[in-house]
Amino acid sequence: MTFLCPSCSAEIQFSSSVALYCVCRYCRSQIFRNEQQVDLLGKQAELPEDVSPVQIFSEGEAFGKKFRVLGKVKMQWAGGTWNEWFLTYSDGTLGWLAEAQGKWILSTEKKEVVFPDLEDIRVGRKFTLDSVAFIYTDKKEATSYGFEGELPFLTVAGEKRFSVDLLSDKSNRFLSFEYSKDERKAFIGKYVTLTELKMTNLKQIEGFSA
Amino acid sequence: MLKPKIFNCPNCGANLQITALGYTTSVACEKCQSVIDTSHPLPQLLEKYEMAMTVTPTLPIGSFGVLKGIRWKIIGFMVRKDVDYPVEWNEYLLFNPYHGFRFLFEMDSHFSLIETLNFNPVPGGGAIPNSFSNEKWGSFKLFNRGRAEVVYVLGEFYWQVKVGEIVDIDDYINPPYMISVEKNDDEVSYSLGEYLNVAEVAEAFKSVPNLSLTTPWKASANAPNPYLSATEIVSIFSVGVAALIFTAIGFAVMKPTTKILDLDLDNSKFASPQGEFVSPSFDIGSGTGNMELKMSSPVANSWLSSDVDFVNEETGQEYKTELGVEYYYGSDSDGGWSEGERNTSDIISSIPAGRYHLEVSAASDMANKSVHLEFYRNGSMALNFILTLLGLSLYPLWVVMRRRSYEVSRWYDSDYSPYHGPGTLSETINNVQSSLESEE
Repeated sequence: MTFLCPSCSAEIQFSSSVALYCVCRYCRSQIFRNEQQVDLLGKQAELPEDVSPVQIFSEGEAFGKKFRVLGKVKMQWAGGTWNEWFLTYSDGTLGWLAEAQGKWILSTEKKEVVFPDLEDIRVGRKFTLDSVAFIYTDKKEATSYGFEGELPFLTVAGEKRFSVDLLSDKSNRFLSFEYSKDERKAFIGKYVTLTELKMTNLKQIEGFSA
Repeated sequence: MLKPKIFNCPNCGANLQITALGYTTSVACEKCQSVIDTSHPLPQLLEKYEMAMTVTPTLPIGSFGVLKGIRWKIIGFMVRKDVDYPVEWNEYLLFNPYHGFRFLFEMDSHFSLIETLNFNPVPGGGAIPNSFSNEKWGSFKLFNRGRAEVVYVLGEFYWQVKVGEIVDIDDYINPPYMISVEKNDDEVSYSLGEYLNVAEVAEAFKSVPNLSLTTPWKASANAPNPYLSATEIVSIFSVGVAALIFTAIGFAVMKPTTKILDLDLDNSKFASPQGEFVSPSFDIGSGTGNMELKMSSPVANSWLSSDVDFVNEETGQEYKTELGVEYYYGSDSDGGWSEGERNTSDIISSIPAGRYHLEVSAASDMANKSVHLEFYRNGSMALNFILTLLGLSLYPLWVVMRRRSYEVSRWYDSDYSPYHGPGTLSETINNVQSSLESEE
């Protein structure tokens, strides 16, 4: 679906039917799509540049399906930054590719989770989900830098949320909870490498080749 | 094409760069060694350092090298030391945006490529087992429990690096692998190291000018033992022995013993003025097979001694040998007895190839000096076989001893050595401490 940016009139395109928000590549306006019209939400600063080889419209393969990268969320915490890449699969399902400290986690949102209270979460304690035992490995407060491309939800710069990571040594699964002001989300996934995802259309970086 | 970000050191103004942009949260200035926080768009001076020491890394920051098929850039360098022992080592931070980070460990010319693990490989939920087994990397033994302190830093890091920071480290080894658990108050991290040959490292970083890496001169925690294990040596030894037996059989089959001469001599043959019998000419070919001269004589309560000269008809060179037999018999109060042999033989192994004849003379107390001579080539190989077998068995013994002594030196500084010898320093200290305490 193609629209005109309500701020600068540049052409803006939504590749995914589930994505409702996007950032104009030219004037950096955040835009909300509602039926056949688009609303201007506000301006956003450019995300800080990083060396991540993944970019909007990078492609790859997982679970026997092709996927395409459509959006990027950048988060900051006391120990640095991380990226969350929004993916759509060839069968229409959604996914996430998180990137931190040179490691990659492929995940999907998990619904109907009975969330523990944030205050009760302690690193090192156990949590069981669908009879798989996880251990809390990390709990931190993070701030959004905003986003690029398109997303199924809105995140604006300065927005805060708590991020909780869990690991299962036995099943090699990764679980994470997000606690924001209004909602709680759970994502389940695993560690991957860009090589095993057979990624294409990656960013060119001086001194290296994909 | 994304290029490294260039910025100026807020302390000394030196030109610095960030390759792992977005990951790098601190940079130690290569000029003034100040540590700069780069987790914000504007780099901030974290710690101004006027270090008394300057360490020049063996492999300079900014160098590229291909290790295990991946091209890495060295972006950070760190010297750490053991808090309790006088031991120091270097760690290089390697980066490739498509493959993440690795560490290159360097101590006493030993190198390891280290990757952080996404899970806890040590079973037992935080306990410190003396050994454990891993499906992928085999059986590990606890090698060292210690504390490591950062003493020197240069370049980029994806965490807030700090000189003086101390972590607890547990190392488990299964050469060439090492699994390490690093703990501080905030987090636990797990890593897997794999030993790298100094030659692999030299090849990887051959583009570094004037790089000189020395061959390690002592054992390291996770260097593979250069000597074969007892199991390996036994299997190689068995293969060797089998090969030897097959070779021996093969030679026997392919080159059967051949008779070159068969002479029946008696007084009539020794009738020449010199008392010598001169044989017809024959050839000795070149080859590895032994030659054997057999002699027999129907001696009965008598003796016979025969001088046999091999005369090379081309050079005139003579090769002499002497063969003798004696045989006595009779009977006494215990019954019949006999002594001596009627047959004898001699291995002839040092005669070069050529055309020869024999000059044979005989002495005896018999009236008729009757001698039977047979000359064979490729005769018995039994002696060679036995000698080779002996030689073969000395080698595995030597290897087994060398291998053990390498393991003893590997574990020499470990508190968990399975080789009981003179106690380690800390054992001695512990013993002294406990004996002092018991006296109080």
